[in-house]
Amino acid sequence: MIHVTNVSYDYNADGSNPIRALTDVSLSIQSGELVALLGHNGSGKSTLAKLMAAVMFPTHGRISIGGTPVVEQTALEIRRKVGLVFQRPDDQLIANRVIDDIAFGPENLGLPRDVIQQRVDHAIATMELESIRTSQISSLSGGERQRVAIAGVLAMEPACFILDEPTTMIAPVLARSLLRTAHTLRDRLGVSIIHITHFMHEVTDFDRIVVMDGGRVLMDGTPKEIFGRSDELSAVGLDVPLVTKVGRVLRNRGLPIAEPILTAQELRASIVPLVTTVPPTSTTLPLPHVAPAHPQTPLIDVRNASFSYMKDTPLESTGIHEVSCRIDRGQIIALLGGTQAGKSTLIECLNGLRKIHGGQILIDGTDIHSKGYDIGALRDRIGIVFQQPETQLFEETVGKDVSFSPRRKKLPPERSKILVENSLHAVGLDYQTFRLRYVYALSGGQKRRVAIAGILAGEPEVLILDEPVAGLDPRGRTELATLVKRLARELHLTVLIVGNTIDELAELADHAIVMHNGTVFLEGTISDLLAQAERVHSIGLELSEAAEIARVLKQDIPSFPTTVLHLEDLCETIGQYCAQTKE
Amino acid sequence: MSLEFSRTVTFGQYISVDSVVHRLDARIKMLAVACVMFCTFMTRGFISILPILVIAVMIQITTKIPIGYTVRGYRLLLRTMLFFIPFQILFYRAPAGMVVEPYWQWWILSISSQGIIAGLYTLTRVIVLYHTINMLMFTTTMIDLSDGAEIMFEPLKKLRIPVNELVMTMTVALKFVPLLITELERLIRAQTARGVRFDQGGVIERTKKIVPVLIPLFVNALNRAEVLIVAMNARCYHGGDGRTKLRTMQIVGRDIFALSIILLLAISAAYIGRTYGV
Repeated sequence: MIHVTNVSYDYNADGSNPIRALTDVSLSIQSGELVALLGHNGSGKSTLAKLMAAVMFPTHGRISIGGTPVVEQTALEIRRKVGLVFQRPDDQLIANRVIDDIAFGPENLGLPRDVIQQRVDHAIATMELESIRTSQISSLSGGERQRVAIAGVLAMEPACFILDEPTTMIAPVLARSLLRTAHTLRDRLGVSIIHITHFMHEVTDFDRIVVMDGGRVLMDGTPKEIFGRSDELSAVGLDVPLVTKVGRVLRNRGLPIAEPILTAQELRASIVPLVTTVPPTSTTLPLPHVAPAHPQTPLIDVRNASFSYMKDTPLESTGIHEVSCRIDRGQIIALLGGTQAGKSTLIECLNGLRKIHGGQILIDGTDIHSKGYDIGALRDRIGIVFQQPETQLFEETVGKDVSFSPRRKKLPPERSKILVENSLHAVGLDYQTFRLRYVYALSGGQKRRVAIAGILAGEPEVLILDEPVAGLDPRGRTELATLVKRLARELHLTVLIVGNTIDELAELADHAIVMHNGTVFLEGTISDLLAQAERVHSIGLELSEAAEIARVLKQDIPSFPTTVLHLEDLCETIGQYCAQTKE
Repeated sequence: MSLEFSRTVTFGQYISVDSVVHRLDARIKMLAVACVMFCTFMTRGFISILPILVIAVMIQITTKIPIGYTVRGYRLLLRTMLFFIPFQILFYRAPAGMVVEPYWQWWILSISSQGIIAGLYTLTRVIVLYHTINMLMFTTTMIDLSDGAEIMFEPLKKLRIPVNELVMTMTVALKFVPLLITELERLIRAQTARGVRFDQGGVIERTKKIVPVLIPLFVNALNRAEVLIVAMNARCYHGGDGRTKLRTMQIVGRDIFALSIILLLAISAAYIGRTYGV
């Protein structure tokens, strides 16, 4: 179906300094194959996808799709055979209404009206969009938009789908449903699917995994083969799924577990026969404890706060509804929830960026919307690092951007310099090296650090980070999580971290608030929350990968605790259950 | 200040309500709007503009769009007009043969009842024009507008004018408007969070504060545009040649009926204006 032969690609090939993205890649993909293309940012996987979809053309080598060579003259023909689904559906949706967008592709193919109608109906049925077929795309949720985007490609009846990192920006529950869709499409229509991703755990049930690194194909094989080579993977900074690691640890401890374990179900099947003892009391693991309730006035006290978007218009929608919560000085809190849960709305209400329509927000006991309250001063105290802060940098150089707050406050230059230096240092960037660097020449991860430094330079008391790791690859996620942890510890700030899992930041937070549909769904210590993993799962959230595995094990071993945060906790607990086998 | 521009800037927004006006054929609506606008220019005073006002009120009622929402969109326009109308009143020159008794006069400036009426009439005219276009946008989806425009301008293709491409450009550009507004809100919120007060300072100072917002706004918009081009290419868009359409437009009885009523009123307005000059 797809044949890639010795392909190389240079960005800026005609220019003075071409940048090599792919080197001598050869690959064949059969009809009906479900293939994962894995690798870090810059590994060349997206470039390869664009070449296969005839969006770009190889500098050297040949690609052919179903016997047709990919060259500019055949681009149209190739594009109707290979459908490309983009990372963000908003980049891809063109019309205003669902049905019109799905018809866009077939219309471009010049098909007769009844054929277009038939294809659109079929795509709508396959993607289960019947109820929203005439809805405005702007009124849809992220998950629905993604389904529309896929339907639009589906209606062109391609022989091959390329999904370009569709799961990077979305909540785990949406990612799972998207992957189910990929399987369904392959099973029902027999199309080949190439799924590009950073995440190993998504592709354990694929036919084949191609791992890329540095513009080359590093490995190519079945999931069992690939995940059996975990040492080679970690050498290039890629990680096997947590459950595979659990399998290895247990095997090293002497439990008879086949390698490699790819899913929680497989682990369950291996573990259940081995369970011999039920530990007398359900294990309580050393999880962070909340300090006893402070008698003092909370730093932030939210009482029945409500906010609606587009209030008093026909487009009104609820952001948050009667939310109450408190944050004490020095606490580190995780604010969790899926998309549309109201997390971002809540934090924007905290410093008065959005004015609540009901309830109260008290800072140090004073209502921030009371008369004469200095909201400007409040915003200096509460620093918010918004989602994808790298898209909000506006000064030419790093130094200027970070020094924005001190300059605005008209601090003396010496003081300002110290602040910028410390802030850059805090995010791990050297002042002398980066001060004069152009912002637009930085990498994505560096930009994000600069944006955080810019907030720190304003000397906030409270630091709010809205999804700090979203959209990064695993390496970037780990690095940024480490940074956030260090900041929270070293700067003694009150920190609120917004996210949809606690995985990376778990040991940091002592308290968590789970939001759902604009209200507070659960609140408590991390271990309280983990204990209720089942309930949390019901609203489509996953607290941590380890707790998720524990939840699956619990289905057969009812007393199995879900209060596990890490690999070690999980292995320890399983070890206790299988104690006698070990001896 | 409110950081929700989309709440106050209502222009160009499609309001998804089911009403007779929403269901009318886009071409009929565009034709009607063009006709109402033309006839509004032919009116001469409050009497001749009356039938046009009837049309405006009729449309407002039948669209089922809350009047409060419509009116909110006019605030900015009204504010601008309130700045200009006094000039029109002060510099009012009566047509030859009309005797004017001003309440107050100095050099070429005067205030007279006729001047005030003329000022108010201008204001009404501007609001009616704005209202008509606004109602078209409220009740017609972008795809209907562009499909309609494409059919209506079809004859221009003979003059080698790339109608399809122009319409597509317009559609995509308009699709970007709400996206840019959301983006602008996001950037302003980020700036506000870093301590910038957009609600303080004089005109110059406020303008200065906007610049840092515009830079990332344009950078992001250009990036988006680039991605959109790739997306359109990937879905085989290659201009209007050989492109077919799923949607058909059909003019039915109610379209003719609605257009007839509007034409009747609008033409009578123009006729009164031309004939009697009132």
